Amino acid sequence: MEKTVKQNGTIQSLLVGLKLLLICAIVAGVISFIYSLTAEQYEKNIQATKNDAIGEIFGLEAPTCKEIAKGDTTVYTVYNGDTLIGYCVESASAGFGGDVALMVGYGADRALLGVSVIAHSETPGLGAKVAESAFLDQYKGQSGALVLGEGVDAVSGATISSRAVTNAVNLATEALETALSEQNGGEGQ
Amino acid sequence: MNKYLKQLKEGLLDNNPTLVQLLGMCPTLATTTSVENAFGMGLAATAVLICSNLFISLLRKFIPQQVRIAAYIVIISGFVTAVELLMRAYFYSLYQALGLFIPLIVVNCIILARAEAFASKNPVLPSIVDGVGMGLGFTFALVLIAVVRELLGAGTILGIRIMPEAYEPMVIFVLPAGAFMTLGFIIAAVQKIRNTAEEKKRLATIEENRHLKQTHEETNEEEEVVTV
Amino acid sequence: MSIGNVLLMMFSAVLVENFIFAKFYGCCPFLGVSEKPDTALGMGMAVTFVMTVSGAVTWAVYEFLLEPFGLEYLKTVAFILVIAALVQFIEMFLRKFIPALYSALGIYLPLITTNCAVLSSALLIVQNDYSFVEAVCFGFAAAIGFTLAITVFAGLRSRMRHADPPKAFKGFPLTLITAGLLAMAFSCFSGVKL
Repeated sequence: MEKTVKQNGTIQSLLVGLKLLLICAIVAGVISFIYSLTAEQYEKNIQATKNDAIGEIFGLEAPTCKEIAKGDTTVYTVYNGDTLIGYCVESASAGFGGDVALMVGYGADRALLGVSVIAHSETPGLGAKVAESAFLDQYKGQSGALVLGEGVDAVSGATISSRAVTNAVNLATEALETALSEQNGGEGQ
Repeated sequence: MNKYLKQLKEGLLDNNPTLVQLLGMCPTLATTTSVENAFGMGLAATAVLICSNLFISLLRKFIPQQVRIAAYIVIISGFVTAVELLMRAYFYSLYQALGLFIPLIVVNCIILARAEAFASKNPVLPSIVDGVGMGLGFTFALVLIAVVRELLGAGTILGIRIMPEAYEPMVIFVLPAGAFMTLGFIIAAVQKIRNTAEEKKRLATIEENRHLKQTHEETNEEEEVVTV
Repeated sequence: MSIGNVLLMMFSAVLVENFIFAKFYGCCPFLGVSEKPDTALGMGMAVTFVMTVSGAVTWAVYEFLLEPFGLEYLKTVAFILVIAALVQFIEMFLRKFIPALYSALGIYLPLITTNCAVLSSALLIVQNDYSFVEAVCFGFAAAIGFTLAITVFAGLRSRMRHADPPKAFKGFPLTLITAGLLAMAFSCFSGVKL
């Protein structure tokens, strides 16, 4: 008698486990299905944000880009038709609420053409102002390693976010220099 | 029909999950820096709440009592991930703004609380209505707080300048400290309203009781004489 | 990351990016279980314990189960399950082997599953691509930050019990405004650059 009770108990808890497992399996299955449906659109969104940023910097509808270096920062060459019109670098640096991701554009002479923020999670109304043109336009025409306060003024009350943008721009410039010198070195050999 | 309307009002005002029940404080404080974010967060949580209420109500006989919390959490987190995947495909900019707070809808106490307290005990239709009511109540509270914070902290609403140019934004309101305080003052206002309403009700019942008592005492007096 | 960097990261997780005052993770227990300093400390210790262990376990789950199979999008579901199971397991383990600690933490343990600080630290660890040691240190440090915040706050609240505020501010509103003042104090760390 006792044995059957015990057996019933085991079967009961096995059933409980199975039910939970079933729920987990169904949930995982449904999510996988939705993921497969939406993954492509997500990639497209990311790509579209980048393309928009590049287009905005160079003032072109659809410039052609070619990736020449990849790592923490990605370097692209930008063509209008067949002519090389400049370079673009995607870089990021830690801000107040997380990484601030930038697209930094350079002309063919490697002068800074413009900066565009492609992703950030800074405080709206405060740190988020670094994504506005009033702040970003300061970078136009600058060159070399930049220091906040010299040529570029921080958004008041948002030093950390402003510093993140400056850091990311400097990272981008460095990455462009290395990528180009490697390319030239390769061609020289 | 009337019953459902009452239920909606319950969630939206009388028993507002944020302002009266004081649940789900993390997203309330964190995403109310701008009206747009607050609205997005509210709607995302509402969508999850309605779906989870619906499914937990459907499965209420199937889910074993011993592991119900685990089962609820798995179902809720499933919907949250679904919302996250859909949002980043079709509402990309909102997805970027809400960041880490979308997965955290999972641990939003409102959703688990409604699953445990309502959906697991009630049929499907009332559960959905409960989800809609509570979700809208949450959204309403979030937007209310965000309007105050964005207006005072940045001088804008939905990014449109409302305050005159001369207004120097009080940055403290978009900082964490401002979040706590704004919520504190809003809940104080809610308590004030409720206190006044209760006071009115109390006075009304006292008045009524006195009336009853008077008529009662009159009849009692005769009885007392008998017992003495 | 060198040891120095790990220490800096921990310092920043405790003070500069305090979970409560800078990020709002774990506000429910922070506002709910801070009536008395000793219960607050108990809650803080329980959270520290769970967050350190869950940092390690979720890191392993992500690294060895999810990433190799390209299932990163299932991380929320997987992490919350791991955390729920872990809390249950820790509860059983403590009850059996360390009854003293169990009776001290007992009632707070089940509450930790729905403490968003635990889930968000697991998600942040993945997002920031931490190594195993960093993951454990980060979980531990973030939890210490939580404990610090909740204990200090409970100290303030226990003093406030003798205050006589306007009726409408009694209870929760006053608690929130106090939290706001404390957050202001903590915001002075946000300028520290590490």
